[in-house]
Amino acid sequence: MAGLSPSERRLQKELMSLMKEPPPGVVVDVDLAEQNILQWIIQMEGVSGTLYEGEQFQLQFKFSRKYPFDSPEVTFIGANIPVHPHVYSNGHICLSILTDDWSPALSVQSVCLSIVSMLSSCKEKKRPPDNAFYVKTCNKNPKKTKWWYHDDSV
Amino acid sequence: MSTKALDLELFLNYPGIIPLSKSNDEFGGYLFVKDAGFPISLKKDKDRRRYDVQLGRVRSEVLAGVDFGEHPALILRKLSEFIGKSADGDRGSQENNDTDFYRFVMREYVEFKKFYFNIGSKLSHDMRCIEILHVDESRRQHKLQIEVKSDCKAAFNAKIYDLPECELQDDNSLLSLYGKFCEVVALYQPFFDLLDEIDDTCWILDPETPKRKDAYRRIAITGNLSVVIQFNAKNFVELPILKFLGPKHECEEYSKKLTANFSKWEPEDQILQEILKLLELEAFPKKPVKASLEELVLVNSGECCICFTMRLDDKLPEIVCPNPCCSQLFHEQCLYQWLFCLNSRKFYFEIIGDCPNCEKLIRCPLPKN
Repeated sequence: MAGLSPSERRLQKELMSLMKEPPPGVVVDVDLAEQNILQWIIQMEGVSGTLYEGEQFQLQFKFSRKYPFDSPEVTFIGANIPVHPHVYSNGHICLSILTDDWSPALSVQSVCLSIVSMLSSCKEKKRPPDNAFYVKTCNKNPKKTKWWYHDDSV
Repeated sequence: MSTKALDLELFLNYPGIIPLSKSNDEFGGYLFVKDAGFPISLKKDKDRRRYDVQLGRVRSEVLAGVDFGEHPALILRKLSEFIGKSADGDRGSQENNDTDFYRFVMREYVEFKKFYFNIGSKLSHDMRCIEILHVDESRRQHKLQIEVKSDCKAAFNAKIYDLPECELQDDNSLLSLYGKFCEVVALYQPFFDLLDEIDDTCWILDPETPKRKDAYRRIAITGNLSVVIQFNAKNFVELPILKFLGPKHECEEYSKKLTANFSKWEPEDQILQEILKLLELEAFPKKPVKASLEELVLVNSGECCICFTMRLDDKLPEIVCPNPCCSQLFHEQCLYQWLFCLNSRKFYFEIIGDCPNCEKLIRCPLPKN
């Protein structure tokens, strides 16, 4: 793996790990990620026994050259955006580890697990209360949003 | 001067150069300057205005000041003048030296081959490099690369070899240089036995590819704890210097064991066993066999928790989180970069912030430059 920057080396390692031993219900599009190591698409399955059982979601990860010092930009994309109090209808996710609480010790795998657990612990399928206003006014990049974390329970 | 006169000059003054075509378009042969011959060819280019000149055995600067649009005789006159002035003109006498040099190297090499007909060796085409593959009494291979110098008396210079704390002097005899090399190899046999035993049975974190000249080994003990053993190659049976690297409390624990046990050191016994006795260990853990392929862990033991690698710019992660529940490893460079991003508190010589893994306080020295 000579010739790669430390950031590319780490992403390459994360990709291999996610490919060989993905968390349950998570599949990474390896071909796409290998074409461009800075942009991944991850298929995510709603966990059985939760409100999202049987649903399929698509997550997009965008990494900057500063990764892992800079957090990845993570959004839901595609036809099915999960209806959840922390997920806006444009795919933006309100999750503190994606912005303020990001740490380079976290990984794609741990972000996926956090999102799975965020979805799984949901008790009522609804959009965030300020969804309509946020979607109209927000920046395309969710990292530009100054999040107000509603609560930690969900 | 008329063309006729120049043609005549070409014919008379440059007997080594003959026309290769009837119309003065192409010449070839040797240009003689001070009894040294330089292979040369002149050929008119497509427009038939200028000559393409190929001149062997001289530096290209010689060609720089010559107008190739002139008559061949004038071109050759200029070239002779330049060659005469430049050092290349001395090549003629150099030639004889070269022959002597080749003869000398050949004689030495043949002598060596006669003496050690069963030893693998190779002489390079330009006769300036000799490679010898020496096999010692324990069937270990030792490579010795010798450079042959032509400008001084002690012609054979041992350039590349893998021996600890040893400087082989240049020698005028290939046989004697090789003899000295063998002596040193023989002297270090017991030490090489020890290094081989360590390299075969332990998990070596550093050096990445241990060599015989490296008289130290960094060996994994548990998870994030490792020990650096620095031997004295000349007297390796004396107590080596042991330094622990890892979580503070574990290092302290082992340092205590060391203090308690080092009076029991018995240099007559097996050195590796003696080291284990010092540390109160049965054995050092073996290197996991390709564990990283079968069960791919994101951060393997010994790897930095930020860049997920062991070696970054050839440095190992030396910083350990002081929180005993965390004990993660970091490269100084990675941790500094993160703490700097966070705008952590900076002091004279260190930066203090939250550990990326456990969020407890962690300190990192400031980069040296």
